Amino acid sequence: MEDSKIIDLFFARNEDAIRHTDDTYGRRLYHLAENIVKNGQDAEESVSDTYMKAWDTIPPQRPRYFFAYLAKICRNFALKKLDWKNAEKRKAEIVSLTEEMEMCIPDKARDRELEGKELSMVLDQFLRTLTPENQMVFLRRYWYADTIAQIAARYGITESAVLMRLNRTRAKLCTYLEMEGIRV
Amino acid sequence: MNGKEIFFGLTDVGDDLIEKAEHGQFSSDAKFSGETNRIKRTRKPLLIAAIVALMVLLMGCAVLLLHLEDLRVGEETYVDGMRYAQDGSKIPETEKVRHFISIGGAEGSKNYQALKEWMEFKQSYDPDGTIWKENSGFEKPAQYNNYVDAYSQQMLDKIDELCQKYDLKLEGAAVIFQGGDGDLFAQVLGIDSVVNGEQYLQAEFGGARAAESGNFNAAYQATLKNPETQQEYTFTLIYDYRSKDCFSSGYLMIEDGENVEQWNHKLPDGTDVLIASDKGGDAYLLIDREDAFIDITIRNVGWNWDSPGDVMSHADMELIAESLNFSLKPRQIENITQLQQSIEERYQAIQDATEDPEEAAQRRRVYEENEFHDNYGDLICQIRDNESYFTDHCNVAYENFWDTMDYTLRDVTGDGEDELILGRDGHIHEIWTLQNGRTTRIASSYYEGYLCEGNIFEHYVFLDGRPYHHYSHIEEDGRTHEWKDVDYDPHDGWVLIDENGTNRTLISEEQAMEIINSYVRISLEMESVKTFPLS
Repeated sequence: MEDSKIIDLFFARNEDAIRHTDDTYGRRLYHLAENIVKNGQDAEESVSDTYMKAWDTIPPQRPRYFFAYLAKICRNFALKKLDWKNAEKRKAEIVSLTEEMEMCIPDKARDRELEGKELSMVLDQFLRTLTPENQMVFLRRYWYADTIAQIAARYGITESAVLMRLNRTRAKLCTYLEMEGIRV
Repeated sequence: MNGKEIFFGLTDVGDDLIEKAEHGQFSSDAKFSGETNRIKRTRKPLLIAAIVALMVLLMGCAVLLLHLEDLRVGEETYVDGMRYAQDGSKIPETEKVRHFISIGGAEGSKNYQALKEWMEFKQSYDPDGTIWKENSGFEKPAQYNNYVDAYSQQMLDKIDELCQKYDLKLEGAAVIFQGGDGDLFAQVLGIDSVVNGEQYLQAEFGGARAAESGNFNAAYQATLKNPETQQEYTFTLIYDYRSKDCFSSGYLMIEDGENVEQWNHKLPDGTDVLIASDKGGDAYLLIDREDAFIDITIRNVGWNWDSPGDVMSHADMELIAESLNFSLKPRQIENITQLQQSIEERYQAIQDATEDPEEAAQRRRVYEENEFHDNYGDLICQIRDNESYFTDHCNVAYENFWDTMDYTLRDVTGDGEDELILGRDGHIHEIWTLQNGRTTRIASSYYEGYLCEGNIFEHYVFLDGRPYHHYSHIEEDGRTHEWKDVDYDPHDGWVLIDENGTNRTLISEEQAMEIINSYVRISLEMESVKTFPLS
């Protein structure tokens, strides 16, 4: 079913909205959550929580990008459910991702407190300075938590090419954050 | 700000960016950006001489030298999902064991014992994660920054206790160097290059984390050229140095630890190196010096995990070991504040550098000179004469173009005009068309591309036991539309992604095969590009 029709069902307070959302996007949301929590039950719960949140917020909201709207909610729930301590103990992929992000932070930014929204805005602006391909590779890695192999397969490039794009984008992000730190 | 906050902060970037990353594909000229990495990955048999030499070495040295068993501080079991072999047969789900390896010292050493006690403490300290949740805002004093797995005052107290018990020092505050800071990194620590000359191994500094104690972890983009076999590999190399004066909580985690291959190798200067190679394509070089422990991780030695012929040989790994400098003795960082200031100056210089528009225009000119031609013959000549441009910017498959690439002409778009299809070994790497009188790439595959009935291009990838089929319809205008994926994921099983990526459905293996078989690959008769009638 088309996004606009599903959203119409939400507006009509028709519970079929949830069913159609699940039919259309359930698997992808589960995949996103599972990439983060690495636990089937927590992933299922993240997806269920996402539907409830969507039910509570549509209306009044009418998202232009419905999947992105759901995926953001789902990612938030999954990150909240993630047991960071055990993830760190296991050296899980998600910990590697945050460590890779850590490498992007110029030292002077380490102690600087940014409001969540301010940081998101800075990151959004940064992403828009990149080529579409580098945007996609970066977001597949750090937004969708895909593995290098998955990204390589998705875009038909080599794993080394993925790694190189990520390395360069991280270096650019470091410079960008540094610039932001100076400007604000 | 920390890495976790950035990771969280990404959640609210623009919806359009998230949608694009979910549905988007690389444009045909995406690699114009010059981001493609050059990789040579050719098969080769193991040399009998190398095997014999290895056997002699193992027989002569087996008892006295370092082994992974001497370094193992823990293990846990996990399930590796069902995967496929390249011939389509199934490799069933298996339970495997993950090994945790000390990179501070061998069993019996105080560094090993301190790490083992630390890991046991962590297991019993906060089993349900309650303390971790309560301490989410806990900020460690700078001297504990390298202990990334400590998140409460009690844990820091435990670290202090272990240091006191085993007469070890803290690693101290840490500083991060980015790519481009390689000279500063070496200067600050007072160390030479990690490579002994660059005859066989070249390493480009990619970033590092260094502690006040001099302990460091540095990443390099490395290239190995084996003169005997003419093999060339690029890979990530991580050089990790830990002084035995310090307590370090880090360890190596080796997947499927019971199937790791390990052997000892003696360097020309007499240094013994333990080399371990796992089934995931990573390798490790471990050196237990009297004053320090050095571990080298070689990432992505080979990603085609069930095809050992694609992975480095023992001789290649030994050549890396012989090319690295294991005599480094980094000094302590006396004034870390001053160092941070130096790095800030470096960043300031980067910030001040402005992009040169002429340089960008020049890149565009190079792109057009190489890729825009008014006939296929001129394009073939250009690839023949300037192969490095095409391997670097278009497709690595263009390597050895003139001697190995085949071609055929066929109307793929259905507009009555032939397209140029380039490929080898029975599959397609690139399809070019003439659009507005100039050559334009319309389909590309580094791995295996196939033309299917109905103007369908199939991009097939087999990686890590996972087959991946991507189908797209080539339109008359040369664009591709209506793509569909059928791929296998060890966690989910077979997955169908259709309706241009908006619908992801789990399907049975039978359904997957039915879809795959519905796209009938066309057998193309191709001949060497050398036979193309050049004008």
